[in-house]
Amino acid sequence: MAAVGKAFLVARREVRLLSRSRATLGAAVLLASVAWLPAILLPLRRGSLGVASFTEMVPLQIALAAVILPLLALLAGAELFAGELEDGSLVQALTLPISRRACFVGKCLGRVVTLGTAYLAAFASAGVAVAVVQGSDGWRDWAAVTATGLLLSLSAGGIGAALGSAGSGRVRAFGAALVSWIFVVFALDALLLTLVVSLAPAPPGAIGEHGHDELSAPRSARNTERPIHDPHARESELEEPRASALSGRLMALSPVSLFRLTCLSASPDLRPRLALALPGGAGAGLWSTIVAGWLIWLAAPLIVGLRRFLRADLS
Amino acid sequence: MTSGLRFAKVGRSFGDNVALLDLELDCPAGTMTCLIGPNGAGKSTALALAAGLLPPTAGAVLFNEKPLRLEIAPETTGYLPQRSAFHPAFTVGEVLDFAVAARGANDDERRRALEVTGLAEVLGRFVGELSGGWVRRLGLLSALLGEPALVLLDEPFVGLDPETHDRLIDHFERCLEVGATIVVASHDFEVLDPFEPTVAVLDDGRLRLTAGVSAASTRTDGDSPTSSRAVYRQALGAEPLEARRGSD
Repeated sequence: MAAVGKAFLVARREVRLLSRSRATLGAAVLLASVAWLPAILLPLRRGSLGVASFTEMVPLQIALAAVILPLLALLAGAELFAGELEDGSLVQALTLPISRRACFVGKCLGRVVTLGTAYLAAFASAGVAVAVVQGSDGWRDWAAVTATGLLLSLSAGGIGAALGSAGSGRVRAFGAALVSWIFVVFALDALLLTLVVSLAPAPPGAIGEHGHDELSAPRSARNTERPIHDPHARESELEEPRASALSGRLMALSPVSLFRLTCLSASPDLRPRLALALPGGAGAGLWSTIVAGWLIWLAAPLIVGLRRFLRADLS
Repeated sequence: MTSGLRFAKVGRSFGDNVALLDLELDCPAGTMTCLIGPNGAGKSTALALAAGLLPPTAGAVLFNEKPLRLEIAPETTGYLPQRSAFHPAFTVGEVLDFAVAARGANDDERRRALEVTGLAEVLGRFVGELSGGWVRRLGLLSALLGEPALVLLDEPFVGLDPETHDRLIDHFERCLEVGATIVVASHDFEVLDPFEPTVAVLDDGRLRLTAGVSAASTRTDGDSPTSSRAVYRQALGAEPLEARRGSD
């Protein structure tokens, strides 16, 4: 119990510290931009002023969040320990009877509460504005993307915290965070998408014959058109769930790909887009992959960060 | 069972650099131990090891015969690092409240720590506005609050005005009376001679000599030192130039 009390003590200290930081204000402004930009930019593209609907916003919101949220979270996570370890104030705090474990948990909790509040305030305000002006059609998809964006931010923040928890200094931690961002958001994501697309079973007929819309349509609709006695079609039917499961697992290897997969699986409007890469669709198996993927991506960076922090030379 | 702090064959290296080698030192409860030696001798490393902020690469540091573990908070330890650093966005009062909550100190202990350090007049000021001397006092307050059983002070007199310096000396007396173990690393060590400390002279990471300043030395040359300065001279064969007040 004492350790929990100390963790809350450190969390309160972190919240107080962040509430006075200009960097927190900057992060809040950036989060508000990510939340509001899709709503404002889309009508501008049509040459009008106003607010886009939830349905219009979601694809752009996914694209923006997949790039900007990991960057913000990685930097915020890297600074969590690297900053205070470099200036010595965290070492000073650890001269008091506060275990490193309680310190780690408390600082993470404080940062999640502060930046999580900023995130929810930014997206909730944008959501309310859109609902008031355009109505609530499609709000569930938008809410699912917002919630999944929070998971992505938590995961990236954990990776950042792990990078900065060994006391190697701000510059190195930020450098490592930027390299991780480039790797996770661009290189790994592109690699996984390429693999997923190459693993997807070839659809019957060429794209030219059936057109793009058919590829995006639910597979069950296309299946009814196939001759029942076609052996190739039956083979393909058997391959689809396997390929779908493998593709789902591959996409879970990156938090950004997992973010996209979760958003597409959660949205009835966007789910058909999954059909190209995951012909089996968002079945129960895919959801277990998604849940397991998030659990791992949320827990693993924190476990690594805690281990590094417990072993760090702090003097 | 020996109560107090014990360094049992403690070694600590930073890469190829050996900061401490086979340190064997007992610091019994209710006594003061003074670590002295030239710059880079390993004094601060020894204190950081005892505070649990650094793991030893060899041997063990024990307090009341229990090994200090890195991940366990030193409930009984008050440590003043060589460099006091507090986040500039906090006020002195907030730093104090945090330390009081962390140590579970009562109002009397809070008041006494404020008396020793004289910080009551700047409670509302932000750390970023304080001079180096005030920040040093804040570090002392954090280390002495709650009257810990093990007090580790690294250069406690640096930056202090004469009044605070004298109040700190008085506070040492009270700590020793209640059985605390005090270990001080200081170049200004002669002011501690009235406490009859055990003086441990370190040089290049090695313990050269241990002696009580009022007792006979174990050196073979027959010169029984009665002051820490004499112990230093005996151990290293040189005058402790850096011991002169103001040299820092």
